[in-house]
Amino acid sequence: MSRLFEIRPGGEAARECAAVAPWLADRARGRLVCSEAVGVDDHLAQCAECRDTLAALALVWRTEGGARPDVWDRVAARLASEPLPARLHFPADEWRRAALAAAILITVSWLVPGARVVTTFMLFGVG
Amino acid sequence: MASTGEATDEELFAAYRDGDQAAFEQLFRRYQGPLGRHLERMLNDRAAAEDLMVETFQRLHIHRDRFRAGAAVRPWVYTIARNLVRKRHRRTGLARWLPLDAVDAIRPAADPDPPGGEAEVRRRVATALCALPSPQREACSLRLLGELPLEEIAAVTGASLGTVKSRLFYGQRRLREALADMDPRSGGAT
Repeated sequence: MSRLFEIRPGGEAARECAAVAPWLADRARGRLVCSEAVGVDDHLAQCAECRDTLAALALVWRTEGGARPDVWDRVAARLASEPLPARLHFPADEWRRAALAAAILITVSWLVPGARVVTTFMLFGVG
Repeated sequence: MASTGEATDEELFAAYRDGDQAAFEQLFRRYQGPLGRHLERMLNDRAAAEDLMVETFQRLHIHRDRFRAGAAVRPWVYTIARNLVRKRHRRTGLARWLPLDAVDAIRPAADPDPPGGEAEVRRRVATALCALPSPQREACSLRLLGELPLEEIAAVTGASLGTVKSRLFYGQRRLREALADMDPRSGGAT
């Protein structure tokens, strides 16, 4: 709620309205916690426009905020028919790192004289 | 999204990835209301919103291994849903600004509701929301109907926090003006 305290006492009303505006939705849903509500309510007590905005949001919430039909069965059916991607033992990032390390190792083995022997030994255990 | 004492969304998703199917259902039920409302308002079509709701969770399932530990689940869910909405809009050729007659299309042909009745209020509210410029409509819908905090709206939409606040301010002001002639205190403003 520190953002709300960006409002300076005696600041321009429009700036206060802009600072309070993001919190009006929470107020309309009745979910503004007490510490936040103090700053918002102080402003609302003085500002008719913001009170009207809050009333409009409350009307929207009352109209649109109802429960929605339960469609879990559709989700479950979709998941059941979904072919699962093959689960890798390592996360994708681990595979990428391993592939990159192998590519670097092979490149170095071809570029650096003598390294080919070491690389071959590491990979295949033979000299 | 979870309150104190309940498993967080991230804990539920982690449990699902570890094989707990019930955790996924629990996660879905948390999102069904907020995400369903938001999708319905963005698409202006309840059946299409339900389809995308299902598809969002199907994608969540498919891409579950891409989820990085420590990341938040909710912005991810809403980002998937947002991409699906955009894809659908592209496919159906909808303009960035929904035409107002789309609202009339969902109105029953023979509306028995008198002027000022519940159906009329519902239609007026839907019209007011649809009339908002797309970025403002999205911000207002995510905030009020999707119940997202400001930071997550910024993350989902790719806008700065200041831009999100600005969109909310101007969007809400337009809503106030559009609904000014309706019963101003019927929404339970306290």
